[in-house]
Amino acid sequence: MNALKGWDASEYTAAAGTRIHAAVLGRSEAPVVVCVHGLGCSHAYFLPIASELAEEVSVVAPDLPGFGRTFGPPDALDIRGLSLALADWLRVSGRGGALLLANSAGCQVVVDLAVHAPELLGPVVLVGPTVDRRARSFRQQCIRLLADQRWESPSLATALLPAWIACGPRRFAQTLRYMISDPVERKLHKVRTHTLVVRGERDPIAPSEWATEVAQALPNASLVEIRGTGHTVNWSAPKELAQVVRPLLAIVRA
Amino acid sequence: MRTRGSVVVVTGASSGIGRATALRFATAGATVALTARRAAALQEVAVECEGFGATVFMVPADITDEEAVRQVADKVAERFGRIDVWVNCAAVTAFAPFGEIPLSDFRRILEVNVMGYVHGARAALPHLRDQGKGVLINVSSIVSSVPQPYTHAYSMSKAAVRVLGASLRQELRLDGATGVKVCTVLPATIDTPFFEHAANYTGRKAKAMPPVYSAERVARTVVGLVRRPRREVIVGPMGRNLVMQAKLAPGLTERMMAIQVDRSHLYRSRPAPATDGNLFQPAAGTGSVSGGWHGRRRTAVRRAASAALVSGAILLVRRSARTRAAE
Amino acid sequence: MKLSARAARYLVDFDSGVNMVRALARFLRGKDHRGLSVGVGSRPLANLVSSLPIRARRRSFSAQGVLQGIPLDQARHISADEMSEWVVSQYGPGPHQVVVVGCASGAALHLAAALHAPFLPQTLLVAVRDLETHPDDPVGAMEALTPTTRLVARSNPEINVYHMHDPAQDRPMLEGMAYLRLKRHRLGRIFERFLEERLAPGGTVLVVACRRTWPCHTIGERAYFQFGCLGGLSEDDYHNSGPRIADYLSREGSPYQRWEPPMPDGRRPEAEWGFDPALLADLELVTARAGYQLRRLEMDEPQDISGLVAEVYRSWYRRRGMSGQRLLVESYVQWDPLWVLRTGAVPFWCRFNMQPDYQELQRYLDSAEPYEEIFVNLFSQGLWSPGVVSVSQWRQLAISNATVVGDVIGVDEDSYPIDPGSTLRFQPAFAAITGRHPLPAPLDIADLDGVLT
Repeated sequence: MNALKGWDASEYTAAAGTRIHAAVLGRSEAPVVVCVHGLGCSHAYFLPIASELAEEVSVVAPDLPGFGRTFGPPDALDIRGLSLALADWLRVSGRGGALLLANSAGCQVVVDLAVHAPELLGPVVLVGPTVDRRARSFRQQCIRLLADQRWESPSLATALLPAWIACGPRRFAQTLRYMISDPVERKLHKVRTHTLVVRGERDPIAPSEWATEVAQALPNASLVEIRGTGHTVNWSAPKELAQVVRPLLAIVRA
Repeated sequence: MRTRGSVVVVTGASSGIGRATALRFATAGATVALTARRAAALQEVAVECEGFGATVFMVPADITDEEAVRQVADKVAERFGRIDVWVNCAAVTAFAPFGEIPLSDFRRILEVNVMGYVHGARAALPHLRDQGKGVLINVSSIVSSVPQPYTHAYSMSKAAVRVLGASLRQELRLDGATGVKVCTVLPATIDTPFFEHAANYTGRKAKAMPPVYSAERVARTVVGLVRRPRREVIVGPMGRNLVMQAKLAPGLTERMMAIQVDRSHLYRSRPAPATDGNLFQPAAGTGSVSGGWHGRRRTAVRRAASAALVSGAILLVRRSARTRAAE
Repeated sequence: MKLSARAARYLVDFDSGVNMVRALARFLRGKDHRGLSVGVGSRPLANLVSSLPIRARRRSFSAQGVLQGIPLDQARHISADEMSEWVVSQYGPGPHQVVVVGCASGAALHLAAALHAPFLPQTLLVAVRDLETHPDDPVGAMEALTPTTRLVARSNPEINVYHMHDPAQDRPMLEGMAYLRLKRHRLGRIFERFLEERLAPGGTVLVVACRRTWPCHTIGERAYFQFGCLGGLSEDDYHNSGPRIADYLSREGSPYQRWEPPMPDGRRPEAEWGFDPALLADLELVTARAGYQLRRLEMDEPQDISGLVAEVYRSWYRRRGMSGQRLLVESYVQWDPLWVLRTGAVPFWCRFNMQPDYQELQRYLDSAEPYEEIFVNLFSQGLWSPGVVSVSQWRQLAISNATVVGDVIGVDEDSYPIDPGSTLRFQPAFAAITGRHPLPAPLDIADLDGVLT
């Protein structure tokens, strides 16, 4: 097993019927920030934002079943399956109430968590929420994904290559289908904790109308746009993201 | 060694291969001692053997009982003065998914098929060695080298029997007992009541997986081994092919046999209740040689078919030779 | 896709749950239920089949049994999840205002069609090939199938498996197959997702619950054996064979004079028609979480609501300016919601073609406002089961109650009830009824407030 470059440690927890791998960085005995990755990604692309916050908090980035270093079932899990897995892991590892920082599909997973396990929610940061209501087709999402690559640095592809290989095309396609049919806008009203919606200015996957809609549907949210970045704000603009996240850390139970 | 006048003990003589073997020895003029669980069945076999003019002796026993088996040997030796041939034939089987078979059934199969043969060998060998000559024949099966799903205990036990034979041969050689022979017979699928008496937890009725050979064929082989002992003999041409295939391409054979057994060893359209068959209680009735799987008829059909092929081939060769000669 | 195709192969084409899904799915796409949605609707072909000699016809029913049953080695592949996948793939993306969940019933089917609601069955039928056991030997059949029934239950923890054995009505089928009814006690991931994704916000889940129970014998964890089922015989007739049974058995040429079923050790929801209330727990959870309404339509017997639904249709037609004076009596799975609406007919569903169904229809006709036209269609199960009512009796009932015309349609009187062409003939017969009306907009669930809990 390769050592995790940049992270402090690898954690393995028996949860959700599998061994969930999580990368840990930062102060122990500090408030916890849990990073929830998107489609085909893993803990790997949260390293920049984790490094930014490492002085103040404990940053934990789990790999959801079927992604990163966590084995998943042969058929891809749908959004409910992924959020149930996240809920189980949060309970078993004692991290209920942590700040949840989610990117892309991870936002859908966190919102779905609010539906069946609202007690596990701390403050929420939705970075680049998916899937835009107006582009709910496989083709449109693929086009937007490709369009976003223009604004992402090539180092992101390098960092995520092992994760893409681990995910594989079949699970990728199956999960994308589940993401597209997930009616996330109907669940937003269940996220009662303090929420921050963040989008990159150039993000084609979460356009500004959609991000505004999401922020408005959430009971307790504000919207922030970060200039000059695409969909993966946590990789391309970690300093700016850390700046907007810090105020929420005060609300997290230590 | 000559069969006429030899004293032969056959276990499992109430049905199937054991019964056919006993009858064959009787026609060959041997003195036959029969043992099995069902006294009534032994009685029937005894009458048939006597019909061939042979002397018959019956000792009902369960071969898992070591004392009882020793008694069989002692009684036979007492009665006829010697034992020339001991045929270990009694065996049981179960069809079951591995997680479904009660462990007591599993143990029983190993007890009967392995320990039963061990008890038989332990009882017979002292007599054979004292005499300086004799034959111990263990009926194993091709499943000892050609794997099958669902019959784990049976396959394990038959492999054990094969190895038992080899070890005994080595030991006898070291001890200088060159006149005592140990032979192992490996039949392919034989037409006997074995399949309907088997324990079954698959929910599907069991049948003989084709090709099916007659029990008389095995009996002839066993009797032949007395005259000319050989280490191991496979009975049934298909059995020989399969054993060869298993040696050359074991992985392929494993996969092939898995599908083959699932398709044609268990019925696809006849369910059967869970039963422990004849493992703990002998089957009802007085037994028979054949199980109704038409081994003899099928052999005849196969022979006719191959004969037709051969003569057809010969005709073709002749015709082309004549054509060439004419040119 | 491939797996749900396998599920479709394993499901039995004449099962009530399967037919309800197929008929409704096709209706929602604008198609009818000809040939039970797997065959054709052709009167000439039906007549050809019905003209075969009686032995051939009888044998064709048994042959169907053999063909519908899956080989025993495939039993390990029976998957309730694959079947749920098949069910949800029949319907479009929605969003639907109402989804009907629960037990099969022709009356509920027409209600669902009126509401344009998809139906998620609690119970589906699979059959395994069985040429070994005898229809009149229930203990033998039970024991022979127990390892397989338990295997299916073990592989599918979300269902209860009922091995149902009825030598009265299912006799020809029983000669070639054994019935395993899979009844969900958990909603399962796939149905849950269907409700969460394809039911409109604030939509309604309508649970159809039939309280009918039947004595059964436990053969394993979540595995049961049920002897007999709803039909012309009572529970007592099945469990205490009398002269009526002896008579029936000798008529069918059986070596048995009576049935010796295993002692029942409890009562459970009837295998085909009964609702297992354990499913309500999951339904309540899902509807509460997603903000849906949960309504219930309850009945003691599957056809208790037939009269109710008939009245709903009648008043619905009248609200749309139609006369509502035509009654179409359907039996078992020979239903067609599209043609019912097209011909402006009020549907009355009979569970089968037996004495209790006849009485139920009679009771309705006595209490309802008289109809001008009454048409009756009958299902053929392949033998004269005890309690089957003859065509002439049904016709007489129709004639004496209709003020203008009453008749039995789509039934070959000579070959009934051993008529394999019946499923080919019923839909052309419906289509032959004169008069066409445009298909209406869906009924609002609020219009049913008086009927539902």
